[in-house]
Amino acid sequence: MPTRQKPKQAPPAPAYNKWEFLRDFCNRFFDLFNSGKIYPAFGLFVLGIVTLIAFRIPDNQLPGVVGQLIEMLQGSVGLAYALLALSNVLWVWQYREQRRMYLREIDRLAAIRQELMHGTSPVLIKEHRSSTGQQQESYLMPTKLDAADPNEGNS
Amino acid sequence: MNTLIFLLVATLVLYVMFLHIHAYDELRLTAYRFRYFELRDKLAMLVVQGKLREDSWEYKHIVETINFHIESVETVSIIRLVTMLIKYHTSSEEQRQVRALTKRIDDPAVAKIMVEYMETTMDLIRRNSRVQLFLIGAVKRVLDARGSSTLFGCGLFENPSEALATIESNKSAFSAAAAA
Repeated sequence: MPTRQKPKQAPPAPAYNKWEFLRDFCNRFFDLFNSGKIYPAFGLFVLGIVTLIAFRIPDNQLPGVVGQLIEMLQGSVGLAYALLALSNVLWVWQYREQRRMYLREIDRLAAIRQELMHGTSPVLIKEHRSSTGQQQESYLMPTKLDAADPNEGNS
Repeated sequence: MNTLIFLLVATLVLYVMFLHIHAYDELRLTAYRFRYFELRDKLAMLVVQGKLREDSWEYKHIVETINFHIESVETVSIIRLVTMLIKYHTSSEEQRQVRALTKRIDDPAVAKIMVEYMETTMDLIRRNSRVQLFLIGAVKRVLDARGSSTLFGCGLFENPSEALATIESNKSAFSAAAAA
């Protein structure tokens, strides 16, 4: 008679300790440097210094420093910082918008390529017509000798 | 000293805002270029699919017109671009060409491309002349109220509204052909 075996329980995962956090943090920090993202790395570095200073300041001096910061942010310097922050947010938005636009264009071109590669039409376009080489440039409108309708008035 | 530092910071902030606006304008113009590229590719695909002849007058003319707009968006400053497109779309030559196109285009797919081309161009003009449109509209309302709007008939300045109305009318003609 087979004996009933107790299902094996997976050993409990060790708690995520501070050394592992430090290891992951350092890895991500170096990833930022390795991928050329100096700006967020620098931001983290500055944030680290600010945190360190805030922790090192004696408790009785902290309210004074916070008060000074609030006072500074209320003046024209605060306006400059606000504009700086806004500027950064706008820059990120613009970068994302541009990336989205180019990705959409790539998708469109990929769809055309697919149609050309797998389509069955044998018709080829003989003359290349681009905005840089196809037309004679003029100030007002494209002028080409055959631009006028040869059948104008007949149809 | 504080005033000087403030002026310096203000100048830098304004310069950054200028860079933002410039970059945003470039982004929008690139978006218009891509829309024109799409239209040109759609037309070329009609040729590849055998629905339109490459040596037909309408194909050559539409491609040239789209290329002209792409070239303009790429090379001309926004200030000149609006003036140029207004002159282009209100010229008698362009009107003659549009009339010829409406007569010759019998494929709804080509007419649909023309409708999209008109919409893109209207967006382009409207987006880059919003302030001009607003100011001209305001002045016109004031002059109309006083019963003297002769200023608008003497060709003193380019009026985007005229170009937009012309393009809208052309678009309607092509929309009818596309629906047929």
